[in-house]
Amino acid sequence: MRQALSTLRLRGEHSVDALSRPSILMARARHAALPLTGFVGVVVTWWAVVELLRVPAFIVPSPASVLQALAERRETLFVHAQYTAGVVVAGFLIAVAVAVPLALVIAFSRTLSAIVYPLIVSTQAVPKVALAPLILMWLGFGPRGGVLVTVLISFFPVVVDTVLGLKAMPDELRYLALSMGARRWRTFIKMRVPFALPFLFGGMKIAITLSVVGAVVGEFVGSNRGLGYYLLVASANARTADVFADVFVLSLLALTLFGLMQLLERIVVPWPRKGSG
Amino acid sequence: MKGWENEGLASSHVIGPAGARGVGGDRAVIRTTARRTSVRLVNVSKRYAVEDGELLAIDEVSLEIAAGSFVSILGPSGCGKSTLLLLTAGILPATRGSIFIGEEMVTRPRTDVGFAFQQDVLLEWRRVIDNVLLPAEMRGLRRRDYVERARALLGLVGLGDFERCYPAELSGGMRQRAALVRALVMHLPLLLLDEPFGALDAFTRDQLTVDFQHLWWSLQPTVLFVTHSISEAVFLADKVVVMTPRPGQVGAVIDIDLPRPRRLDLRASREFGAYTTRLREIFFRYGVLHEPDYGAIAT
Repeated sequence: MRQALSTLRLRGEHSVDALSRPSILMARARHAALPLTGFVGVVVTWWAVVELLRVPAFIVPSPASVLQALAERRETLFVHAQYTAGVVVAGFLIAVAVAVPLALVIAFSRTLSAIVYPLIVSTQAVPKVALAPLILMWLGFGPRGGVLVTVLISFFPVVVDTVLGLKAMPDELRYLALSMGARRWRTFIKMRVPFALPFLFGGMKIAITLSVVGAVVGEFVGSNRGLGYYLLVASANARTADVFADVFVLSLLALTLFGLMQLLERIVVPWPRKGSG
Repeated sequence: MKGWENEGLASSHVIGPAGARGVGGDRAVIRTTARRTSVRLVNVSKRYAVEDGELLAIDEVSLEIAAGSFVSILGPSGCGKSTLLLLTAGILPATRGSIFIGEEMVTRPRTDVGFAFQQDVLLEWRRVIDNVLLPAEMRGLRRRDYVERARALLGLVGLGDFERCYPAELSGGMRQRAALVRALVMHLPLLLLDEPFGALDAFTRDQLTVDFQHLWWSLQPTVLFVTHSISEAVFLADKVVVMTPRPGQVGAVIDIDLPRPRRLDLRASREFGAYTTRLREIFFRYGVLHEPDYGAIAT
């Protein structure tokens, strides 16, 4: 921001006064207020519908009773959330650790790519939910099965995006590197990798949200802990407010992890890019 | 031969009193003993393998380019102009014929040529100064030996205040200026430019053209300048090489005998017009240009 302003000043296209402090604060406030308005609107509508149509609480509970459930079950929910978060993070990290080397192989060896790529694409054709019972039979109850389901669901976007990224370097830069007598590893480190990083983060942001889905699916099928497990138990007992509370915590978990990825992206890929403002 | 190559890369470029500043000082940093080389192409042909067989991109091209001269290569799209540059730089091997830079035959990628393209291909994650110093870094040389020259060149193209900016914060014209400085920073004897102003708007293009002429005049490297603009080719060059439509052959070589420095309004002069008319006629002959049949509409 500071940089952009100083650029504007240097170019002399706008005076800085045009973007004075108060108007920047106003713009920031609008920026924060508008999404909030959307959320408030949804909650108010939800509340109104439940109250006016007298919907039974076991079908759709009111926002107040969901809040109450959140407060009453906070310790239980926290314990389950910790467990699920562990599975999500472990699955995500393994997925990235598997996906990046695979992407390197696919991007740099035409032969290996021809062998490996169709295989990876076919794994995506298999619905992971259908595989879950099998995985549990092999790995048993407990976190390991959940982690494997998570890995299977989330590694694919990382592979695809990283391959795209590793191939994103324009030919002209390759010529330039050659004319500079650059060694291959130097071209790789100084050009190809930075080109690939934004793509890698694109894939990882998709993967982290898919990882939450994977962990919940794993817990649906076979687990006695975690938010997915608690969701099943609560809905089997018609404790709908608890189900809502559980889903709320799950969304919060997914949002937090996504936010962390964005933060990490801003640290690793700090340079301004076209279209990023 | 090896020694000749290394000398250009590692030697200090600073001439004049140390710490000299201001415009005069910058000139002292930039202007050094001229480094230039002749280029010779002898019966060069290039075939590409394509899906259904082969494509002859360049057919028996022979050229003599004197050291320190500015040569425009003019031709329609797809006539192999860009290929010619890649062959000269040793990035692509010629199918037949041979190319000499100075006395040395080109057999592998040359590290003594500067490149600029239609796309500036600046690295978005590097500030302007770091982009400009990339050639030194990629060669494994010490940055600080080139910083002073880089700053002086940036000042000369009007980017002195922008060396700490990221490319995304610059306009298209400023980005291309930075790319030109990157090509010049090593003080190499041969510049290969592939439509460097092709992606710019007309005003920016005019400004960069005169600025680049000025820059070339101070440094005097040998330049091979690919373009499909007749007036740009004439304005900048000592010699215009006309390429035929595919397969690319040398159709004509025209010496441009106009005094330097050339000003933008030279393009309105009769002498300039004579050159562009002559060149346009050649492209009419090739069928690259043709007038519509006005009579057909009237009746």
